[in-house]
Amino acid sequence: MRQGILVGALLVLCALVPVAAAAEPSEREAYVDHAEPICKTNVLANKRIFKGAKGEVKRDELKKASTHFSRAATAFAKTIRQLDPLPKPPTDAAKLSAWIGLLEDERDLIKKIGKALAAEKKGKAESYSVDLNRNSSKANNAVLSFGFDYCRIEPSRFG
Amino acid sequence: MKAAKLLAVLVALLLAAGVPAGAVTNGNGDLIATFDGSLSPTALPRESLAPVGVHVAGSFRSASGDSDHLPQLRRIVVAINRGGRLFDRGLPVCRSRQIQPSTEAEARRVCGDGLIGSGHVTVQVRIPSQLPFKVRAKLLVFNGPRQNGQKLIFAEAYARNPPGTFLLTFRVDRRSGTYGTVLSTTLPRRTRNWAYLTHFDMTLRRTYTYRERERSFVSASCPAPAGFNRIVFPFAKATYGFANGQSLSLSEAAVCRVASE
Repeated sequence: MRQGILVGALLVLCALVPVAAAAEPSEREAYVDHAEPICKTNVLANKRIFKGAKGEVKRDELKKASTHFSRAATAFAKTIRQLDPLPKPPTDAAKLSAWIGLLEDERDLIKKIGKALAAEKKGKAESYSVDLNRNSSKANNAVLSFGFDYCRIEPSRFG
Repeated sequence: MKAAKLLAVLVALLLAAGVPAGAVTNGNGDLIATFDGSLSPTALPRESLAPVGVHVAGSFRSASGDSDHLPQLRRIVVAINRGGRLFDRGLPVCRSRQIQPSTEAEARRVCGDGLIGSGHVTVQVRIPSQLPFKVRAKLLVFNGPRQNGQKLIFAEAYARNPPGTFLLTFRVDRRSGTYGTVLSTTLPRRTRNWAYLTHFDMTLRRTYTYRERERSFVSASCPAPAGFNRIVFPFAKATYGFANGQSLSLSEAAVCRVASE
């Protein structure tokens, strides 16, 4: 069961995932059009990064598994650095800033999972995984109406 | 003369039978859909048009209680009796970029003069990896422009928890037949990966002054035959289209009475 949680966390990471108005295109649509390719790059990178990780966790090869999380945290940090400066629609600015904040929390939790695995503290890693799941939901809900595909955090893609 | 008397008897019988109160229901498999429509006030002039409000509502649920697998509602078509007339000359027009993405307060500030109604939607949010949850949003309905000769009405949904907005663009068509005014909308593309509508209600009502005369966005009369002061009439018909190809149609009747003139 606990292993399932950790594996679940792996899946959560795997994405800024692909997940898909009105009479005239809006500033929001323009933001989505700029953000999605950035997120798509991260999704594809995570696919490569996490190859084999699920098996390593299941086999309790925790130090090996930790490297996937460290690399994912680095890749995610890069994605956030690319997303942050995108011009935000004025009426969505606060919402998007909060979302970026939640993505930064996501990055920090990924790092923490990696460090816990490296220290072979499986229980701690699983606890951070639960926090990661919770944070993913918060991040997705914060930008629900944007209809993000790749920028929505969704684990089942790799599940 | 005989035909007129027969018609009078038929109308009287209809009135005696009464109009079923509340929503009409239709189903297909596990899906149950309802439609409710009404006019207010119901006391209207026999010959001339008077301002009215038109209220329509619909809901979608599972007969077995398993709402997490209901098909996604993709299209709503509400056809209203041709006796209801729409008039928008002189009414400020709102552009979609003015009202979305905006907060409710901001939209009212920018385009409040173009408001023609309000309502609500309830959406079941389905995101993989999360438990489905419901969001209730306020709907503000704005007078839209004409696009390629077709009248648009914008219904913007404003949710607070979690905060968010999305726009339903209704296209208004005039058709021949009983239900001559048709409002239709499809679920916006960017909401299709998470939004499952379980309820909507919308009331169109707006009076304003244009060229020193009081006008109404929707007007109607009560064309009861001579000698009768009440009639039952086919009020509106709703057609719902779902992502799995299912389609359900429901129609509502209403009663009006002739206001003393």
